[in-house]
Amino acid sequence: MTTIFKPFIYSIVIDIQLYDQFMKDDKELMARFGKENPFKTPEGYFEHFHEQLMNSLSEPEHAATQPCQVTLFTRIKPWLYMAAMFISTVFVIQGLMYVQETKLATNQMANSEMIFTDEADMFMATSLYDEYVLYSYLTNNDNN
Amino acid sequence: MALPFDEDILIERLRDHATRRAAFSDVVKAYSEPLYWHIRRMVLNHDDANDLLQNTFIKAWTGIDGFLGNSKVLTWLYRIATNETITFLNRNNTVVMEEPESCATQLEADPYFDGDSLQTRLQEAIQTLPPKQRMVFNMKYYDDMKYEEMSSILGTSIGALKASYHLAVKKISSFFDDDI
Repeated sequence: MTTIFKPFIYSIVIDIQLYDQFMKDDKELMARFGKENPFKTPEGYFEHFHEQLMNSLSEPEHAATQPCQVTLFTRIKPWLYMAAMFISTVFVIQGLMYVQETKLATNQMANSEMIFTDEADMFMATSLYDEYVLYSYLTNNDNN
Repeated sequence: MALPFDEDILIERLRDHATRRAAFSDVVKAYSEPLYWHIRRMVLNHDDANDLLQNTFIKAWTGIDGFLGNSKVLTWLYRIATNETITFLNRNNTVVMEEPESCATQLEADPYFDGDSLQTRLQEAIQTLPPKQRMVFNMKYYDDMKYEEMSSILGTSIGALKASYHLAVKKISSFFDDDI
């Protein structure tokens, strides 16, 4: 059990030793040099500084508090952008629908032609007749 | 640090445009001295300290609308002064750390320094520290500032400030080990 706590005990002992060393250094420094201020200022510096500084200060600009001019265009600008977006969306959708419809119509036409040729193919594939029968079938159809 | 004002009333006066100038005048009168020493111990020279103190108050005055009263007025001013001083030191890139003798020469030539040779040696030792550590040492050693207050000014954790101060004391002590 004691082996688990050994590192912690060591670290605490080291911390205490370091703290003692620091306190010793700090006290030695204080004892040797004291806290006296070796710097000084010109005579009446702080009074003079206050007066000089206050005279040099201009009124700060309160840009944030002053109301800025808002034109009508600036006010309706977001609404204009939104309306333009809706209109363009409608155009795009309409365009897409037109393209889709054209494609559909072309496909239907193509399909109807396909049905015609398919009819002959289907006849050939599903019947037991040969090409002669087909010929006579088509001729009969033409005659009718 | 005892405050000469009721903080809430002072902030209200600074916010109100009608009383702002008078309130700021009170602030300058009360706080220019601690701020001056804070700067002066870092730059050593009176003229530089005077310029930086002026810049600090001018910046505070122009940016007064940005001060939201989240901290004490003095803490806010200390923060501006600290930034101004660190920027000044970085810009001038003083070679004091490599040549502590130049610091002694500068101090001896300064008419506003009346420390003896021992005090000059202490200043030389302090100047060997990096700027931020020097600031921590000065604030603790000379101003006896609380770590909590230092933390809100310098934006560093209390633990890091304690470690920085202890290390600074150790460095300064070892600086004088060479004398023995």
